[in-house]
Amino acid sequence: MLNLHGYGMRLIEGALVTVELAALSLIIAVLLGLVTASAKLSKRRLPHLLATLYTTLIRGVPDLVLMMLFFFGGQVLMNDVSDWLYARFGLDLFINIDAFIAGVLTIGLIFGAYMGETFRGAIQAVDKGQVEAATACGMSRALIFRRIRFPLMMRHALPGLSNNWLVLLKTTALVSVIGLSDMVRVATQASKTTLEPFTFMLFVAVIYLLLTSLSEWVIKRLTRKYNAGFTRGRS
Amino acid sequence: MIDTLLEPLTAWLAERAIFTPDTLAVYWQGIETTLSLVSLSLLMGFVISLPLSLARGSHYGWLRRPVQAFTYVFRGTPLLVQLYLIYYGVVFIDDVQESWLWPLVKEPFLPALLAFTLNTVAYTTEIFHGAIVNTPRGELEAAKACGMSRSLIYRRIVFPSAFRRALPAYGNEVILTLHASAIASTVTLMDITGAAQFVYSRFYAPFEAFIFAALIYLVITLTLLYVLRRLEARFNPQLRGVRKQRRKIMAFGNAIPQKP
Amino acid sequence: MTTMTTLQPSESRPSPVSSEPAEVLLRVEGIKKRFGDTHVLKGISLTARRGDVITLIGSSGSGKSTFLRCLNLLEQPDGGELEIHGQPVHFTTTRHGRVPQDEKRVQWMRSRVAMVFQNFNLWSHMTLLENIIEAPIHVQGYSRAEAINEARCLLAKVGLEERADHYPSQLSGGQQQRGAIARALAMNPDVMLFDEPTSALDPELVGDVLAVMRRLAEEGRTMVLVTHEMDFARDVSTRIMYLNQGEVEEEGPPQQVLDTPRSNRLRQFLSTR
Repeated sequence: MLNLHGYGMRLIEGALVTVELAALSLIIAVLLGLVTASAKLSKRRLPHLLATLYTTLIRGVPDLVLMMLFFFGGQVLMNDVSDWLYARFGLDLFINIDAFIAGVLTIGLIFGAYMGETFRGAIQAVDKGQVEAATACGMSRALIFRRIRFPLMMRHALPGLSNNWLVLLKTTALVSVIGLSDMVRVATQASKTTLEPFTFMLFVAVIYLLLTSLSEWVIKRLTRKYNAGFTRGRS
Repeated sequence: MIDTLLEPLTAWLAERAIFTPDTLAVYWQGIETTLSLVSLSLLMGFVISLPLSLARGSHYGWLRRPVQAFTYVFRGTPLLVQLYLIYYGVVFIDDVQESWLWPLVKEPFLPALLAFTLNTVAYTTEIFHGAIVNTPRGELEAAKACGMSRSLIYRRIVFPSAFRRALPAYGNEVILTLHASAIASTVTLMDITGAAQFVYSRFYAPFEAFIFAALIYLVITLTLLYVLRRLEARFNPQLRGVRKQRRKIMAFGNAIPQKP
Repeated sequence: MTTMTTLQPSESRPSPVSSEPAEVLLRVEGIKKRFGDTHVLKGISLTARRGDVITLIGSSGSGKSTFLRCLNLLEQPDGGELEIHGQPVHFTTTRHGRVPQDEKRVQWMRSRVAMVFQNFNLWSHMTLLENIIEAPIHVQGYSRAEAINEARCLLAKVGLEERADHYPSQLSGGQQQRGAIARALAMNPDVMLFDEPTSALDPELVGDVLAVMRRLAEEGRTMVLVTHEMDFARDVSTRIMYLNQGEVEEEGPPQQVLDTPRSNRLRQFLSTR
């Protein structure tokens, strides 16, 4: 039988951390992605330039390096701020970066770049004729965005969005490296004390597999629901 | 004005003196480690994926299902977990410590290479399989109608056209493997990220240490992108006109990979 | 471009009437095909002698394309016999259904019966020239130089000598189809099959393709074609077969079938054209 040496509860807690982390990062990533996409499609140069710089830099550098930069760098920055506050105002404040929040922000920031690309493609894929048809009906710009552009865009974005979510879910494993107690970190610690890495790592692998499989199932349902009348050509 | 601004900066840098010949040598070794790890796993991954992608599309269940299961598991779990399983797990294989393999697997390089290879094989197999499956039906029929044999059709029609279709996705996989290799530092391998961690812990200078590493990765990524672009243009000359137009419209940043 | 004047086919082609009947190149007997419970072909026979141009007409779903695809075994018929140049193709029944006994024989037979598709199906990773020399080199074993020489002549014949080094995606539909005809000709086939070769083309491009086909007919090429171009069929065909629901409803010389149709269904079919 599977013997988790009393780590079972902690592993489940770790799994919850993983799921929460992934879900919160997804929200940030989607919001950032929408902003990035509209900046990229903007006619003004500065937003376009900034967005391009952001997506290029983030996507050109490994996630782990970015994570370490933000996490360790953020800590140093905070220390400098508290030093300065102490020197200037005599405030004795130790600001410690919360690993969870740092993780959420970092993953959100990284995947915002990928989401930005997904949304940019999706916005561009929206058929201009349908927007024109809405304009011809006398719809206002805001109404067109809400009722026509956005729903159509989401349909085009769904495959890329799903893909990014699956990758994001697996990327959360990296936060164990910067000290957040997700299930990978719990499993690593358990492996070290019990000397049974196979048991714990396989357990974690199975949970990830369950999470990705569940996600894929949900995505399939969603795709079917949203793609009504939106199939790709003939069978 | 500028002097007064620069003065604290130069003083600060002089005080720390991070980028000495010693630390640069650490980074250089990191580059060597990363590049050999990535190129070896990509090379082996490519070779292994070719037959596997055929098996993946086989009519025979006993041939197709194991490959399907393999890619499903390796694409559904984080590379970090796979690496830990192999690196920490290998010690517990019976009698491995007495065998001739031990000196090899005791060091992190081979376990990491194994993990990366298996991982990239899983993704590459699916990429190749997808490209093979997407060979236009009509082109296959035309080949049949010319009296070509099955093996000739594969050699002359399916593989060359699948390779061209797979190239963008495969190029993406190459760059993602480079980025994924940063994980090797977690099992004490001194790759580029490992070098950055070393410099960080030695000088407590996260910005310098990691931004420098990030720049190295960025340069390698952009170089690879350039090479891949050239390859694509070479193998897809019929797209050349289209691509040039597209490049004019979009900035170069869009070429950087999407996660698979 | 298409000429709308009616050409007397018997005047412009070597007449088979004068001497003994020309040699039989392709003969099929009682071809049957079923998809699930639908009987698409209920036993169709056809004999093509050298110089014949046989046109299959009929509404969609009449089985004419399926029948054409059975002629070079892109579809496996469930029943019936097939002979090319007097050489029969033998079938055997396995658990995958009825399949040809000898795959090599089928490949040889296909190299004698070339096909032009509705959607051209040029290989997109090869230039036009490479498309044309592919089968001569790799199936028929010609040298590269010979194949290229021949290909250049064929390209000139279909009016594409300037486009040899273009990729299919750089050509118009009409050019692609003329290229596909050149590819089929390159195998120097006994019989050429045309499966609705102009249906996927813009109206203004149809004429060029039909002109090439007309020239082939005039040269005495043996052809079996499926088309909706009735004027063209009348001009070039030696025989027309009207298919309805998987059966030959009427068959004969074009004037007889098209001008004095006997069956009501054919009359109805022709009146909607």
